[in-house]
Amino acid sequence: MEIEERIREVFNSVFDDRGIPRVDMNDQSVLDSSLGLESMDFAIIVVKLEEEFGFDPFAEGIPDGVRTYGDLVKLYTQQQSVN
Amino acid sequence: MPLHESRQQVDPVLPMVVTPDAIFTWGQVSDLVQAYRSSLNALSKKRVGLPFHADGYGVAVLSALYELECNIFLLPFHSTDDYLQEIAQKFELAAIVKVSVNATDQPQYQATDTFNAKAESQPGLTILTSGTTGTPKAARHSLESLAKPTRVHPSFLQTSWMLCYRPNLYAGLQVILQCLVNGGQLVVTAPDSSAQLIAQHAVNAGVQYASATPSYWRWLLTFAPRAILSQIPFKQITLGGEIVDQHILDRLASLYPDARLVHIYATTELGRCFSVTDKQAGFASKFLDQPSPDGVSMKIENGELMVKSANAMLNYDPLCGQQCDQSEWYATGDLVKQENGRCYFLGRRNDMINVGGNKVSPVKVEDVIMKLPGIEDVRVFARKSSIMGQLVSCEIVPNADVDQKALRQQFKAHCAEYLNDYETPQLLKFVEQIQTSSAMKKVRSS
Repeated sequence: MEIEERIREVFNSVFDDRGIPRVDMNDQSVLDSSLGLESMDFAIIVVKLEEEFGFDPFAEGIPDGVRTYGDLVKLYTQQQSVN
Repeated sequence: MPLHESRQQVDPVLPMVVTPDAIFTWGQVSDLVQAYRSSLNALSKKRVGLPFHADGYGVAVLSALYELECNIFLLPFHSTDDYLQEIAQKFELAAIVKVSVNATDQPQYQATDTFNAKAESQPGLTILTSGTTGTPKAARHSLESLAKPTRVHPSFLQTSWMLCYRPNLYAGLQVILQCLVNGGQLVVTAPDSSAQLIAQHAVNAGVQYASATPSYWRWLLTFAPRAILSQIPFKQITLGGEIVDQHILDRLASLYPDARLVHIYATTELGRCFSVTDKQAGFASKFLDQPSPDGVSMKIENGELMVKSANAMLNYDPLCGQQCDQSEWYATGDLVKQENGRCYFLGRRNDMINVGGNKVSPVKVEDVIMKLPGIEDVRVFARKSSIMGQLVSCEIVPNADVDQKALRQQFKAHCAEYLNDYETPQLLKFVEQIQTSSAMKKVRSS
């Protein structure tokens, strides 16, 4: 499965857990309350992505310039190629 | 609060409290205090509970009750009636005072069964903290002890301070006091606002000073657009309530190169102990050598920070069952290591889980979960999170015949009913067996 699909599945699992409608995100979707997600939800997504990919690109702090869904996919794609 | 001096000195047309929806001037709040003093007069010198929201009405009612020499028990604004009743009974409160948001009427108070109770009622502000058992400790401060660490200076007059802490707790009160004793304007955000709205509110209100936990700053810097963030005219940014790491200090310093960066170590019981202004994590070991000018002594014993503080509370409330000898060293529970002339915090000695500055007792959460039918055993523990510091994680051993999908749904509903959001386990796994240490204790780390 493509990295983007795996990330989308994690997002969907959190939408489902929270009981809020899934959002069809695109690269420009800002990762804030516009998706219906709170900061706690974002923390959960990062933990679940760590379980999915085996690494946490936020472990050393939040990198600059990660605001949108597209930024996030890019970040995991880059880290995956390094690992 | 003895804000009457500030109220007399500041031009009454100037803004005092700025919420996203309203501006309360110093004159309006002064008028409200006078009106509330009169309508709440029957509560004079009594123990009262106040679910506290820091808008103009909330600040006015707090001031009025303080001027009536009440012992004010500060409570979360969105408290359930059951919780308020439980606290009123436990602490023999004479009344619970309620102010509705955007109220135009007088505050209402609800006298309790203990209206005429004889429990000690020295004037002051009592802050409830969560203990490891879930029973709140009640720390009574005088306004003098709370205001002692505040800096009063003419340059702070009419400056703008943003409140990012819960106002009923020590850190929130410090921000409110620091702002208002200097005749400043308090900028209050709505708790459910997006990062972008909060940043925009800060720009609109010209916020120069703000204090928040590192988790809050991480959230704000990540989700608010940089173009808006960079317009906030910060003079000083303060961090506290959690371990402050170098990365968040560096990010703030990079975005606000001209702002003073301060991280503070304070607890409800000890008050403010020290602050660090060199933009580096940890604190200089020389802080341990001698008492600070404002009367705080520190030492490290068995790796734990021990403190004696002149900014400490007066006492625990006699009805909370806790005692504290102010002449003795106070064990903070914070583990510290020394390296190259610097002390760094390692975490808590006990197992409390810190979710973005909110402390969660795993034992309490386990107790709640075990009340749900169909569960054999449960382990609640901290899962490290790069975003929130820690998250509450749990493993459940279900009964053999239970439908796990249905149990997951029941679990969510049960937690929503009995736990605060931040206490609710965010990560749930069904397991066959709970992990234990060699001493047969539940392992609390992930």
